[in-house]
Amino acid sequence: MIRFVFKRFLGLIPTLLVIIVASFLIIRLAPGSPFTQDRAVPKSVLVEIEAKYGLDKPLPVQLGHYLMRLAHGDFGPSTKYPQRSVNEIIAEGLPITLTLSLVALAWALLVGVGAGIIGAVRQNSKWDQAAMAFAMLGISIPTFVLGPLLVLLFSLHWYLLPPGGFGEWRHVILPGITLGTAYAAYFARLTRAGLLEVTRSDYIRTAHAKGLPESTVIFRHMLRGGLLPVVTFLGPAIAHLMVGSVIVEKIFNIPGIGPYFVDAAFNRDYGLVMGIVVLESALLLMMNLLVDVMYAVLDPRIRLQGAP
Amino acid sequence: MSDNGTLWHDAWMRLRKNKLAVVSAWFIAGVVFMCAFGPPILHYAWGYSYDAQALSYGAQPPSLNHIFGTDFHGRDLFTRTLYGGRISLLVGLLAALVAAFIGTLYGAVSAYAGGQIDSAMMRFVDVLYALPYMFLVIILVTIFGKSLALLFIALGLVSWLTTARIVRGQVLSLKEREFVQAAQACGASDARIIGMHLIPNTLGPIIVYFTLTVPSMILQEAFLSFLGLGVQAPMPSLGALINEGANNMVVFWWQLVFPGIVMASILFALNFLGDGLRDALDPRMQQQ
Repeated sequence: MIRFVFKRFLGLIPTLLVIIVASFLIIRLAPGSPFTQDRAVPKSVLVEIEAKYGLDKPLPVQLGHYLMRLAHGDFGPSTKYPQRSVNEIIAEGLPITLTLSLVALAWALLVGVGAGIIGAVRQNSKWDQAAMAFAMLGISIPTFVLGPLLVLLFSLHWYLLPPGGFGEWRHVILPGITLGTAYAAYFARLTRAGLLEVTRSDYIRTAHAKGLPESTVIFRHMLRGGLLPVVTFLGPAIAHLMVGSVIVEKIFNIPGIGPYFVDAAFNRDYGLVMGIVVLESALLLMMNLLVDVMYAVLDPRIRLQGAP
Repeated sequence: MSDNGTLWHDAWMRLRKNKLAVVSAWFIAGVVFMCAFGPPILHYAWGYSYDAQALSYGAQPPSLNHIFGTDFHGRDLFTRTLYGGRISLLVGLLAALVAAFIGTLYGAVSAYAGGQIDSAMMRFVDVLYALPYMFLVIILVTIFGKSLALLFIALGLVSWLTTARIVRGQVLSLKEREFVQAAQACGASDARIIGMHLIPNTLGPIIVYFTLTVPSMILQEAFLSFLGLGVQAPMPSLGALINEGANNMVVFWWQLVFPGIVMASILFALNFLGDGLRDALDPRMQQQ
């Protein structure tokens, strides 16, 4: 098991390297420079600024410098915010974005898996239909419609929760629900389909035949096998949640990493754009690895075969 | 191909029995019709257009004259919503087409080539999967500017991965079948075998995934428009309208609610239709 994890971990490094080089080239070969948007600067000043950030050297040399810096955990300077390093900006924004994503994920798992279990256990009943209609609704309402509507109702009409900002727990409820609902809907459908799949398998029939109470069969035996599709979807879901939080951070005025990214892409703030892309790709790769490991833990058949 | 004929026929019969899918299909047809012919009719009958401002009529609540109300600049919101729906549907459809085209070709070629070429091509897909692709789109849009054509190309360019995987899986099992060997024996070129024999046989899953891509493309166009990266004013898209509405929602609630409802119901119907098509075309395929 440890060998399997280690091998997969080593496999991530070349992938990450390809991503870094590809995004470096895309952003660098794009027309425009970080300094064109400012008011006109004398040519000599521009040359000096570029030399200061090392932008005057040939591209491969810059890439080499960047990779060396990265290896030391340094994302380099930001051209838009010269007084702060990319590391500082990320260290400030990322925990907020992550908190938001985790709250959303918790909400999605709670509601989604719950609705999925109800749907599967009472298949084709009114409960099932209600749960699946909710799921379809959740998938179809975009976050940028749901978010403002929630603010309209809960903050501006009933004065229950703050409409924006970040600080205490009351601030994350509405953004979390906004961000998580679509994933709750996906999880509900995955859970229902996964459970229905295992309902017909032999080991569930055995469990029933042993005379186990229904709740034990569902929670001890069916969930373990039936949740595999949900686990598979966890990796992409977390990645999408982090991207989706760009919108939610805008709606609720949350000082996460999202607003910086859009800004940085516009201003060709190479360091900041690269920093965010690299960090999120690394997180995403780690999540996928974690999912693979969880998969092996949950399903003995995969573990026995070795690497999936 | 008589075998294939009954397959499509059976699928059609199954689809027609699925009431939700049929209702969704009619709803979408209605929306497409209204978006296509609504704006010119409204223009000739009432003189409303999506960009002519009439500031003295600014921000009126829904009434008989303006059933969705008017926006801040006095433009009829119903006209703007229809016009926005037109752009959203167009971008969604074209982006999904681009994605389906690239994905199908890539997946089919990869599977047909097999061996090391196949594993190299699929490894590339794996790497792309690990990219936070919405960030890539944001970068692409800021590089190439915010034109409509580049918007759907950028969206399509990052959304073909799943189609490629599905088509590859299908072609892998198809290419061992006798009819492919027969074609090879007749001396058909590889391009002909892929284009004439393999891809037509994978059309079912491609169509299903295509219908499910359209709503997600519409959603992503709206995502970009909401961030101010999509189509530019005065041209409306549903996402841009919702963004405007969200900024003014405290006083002018109708500017958020109506475009929001239209957007959600279009996505709702497209998703139901996609689900129905999947059940009809491949009853074995698991409902996710």
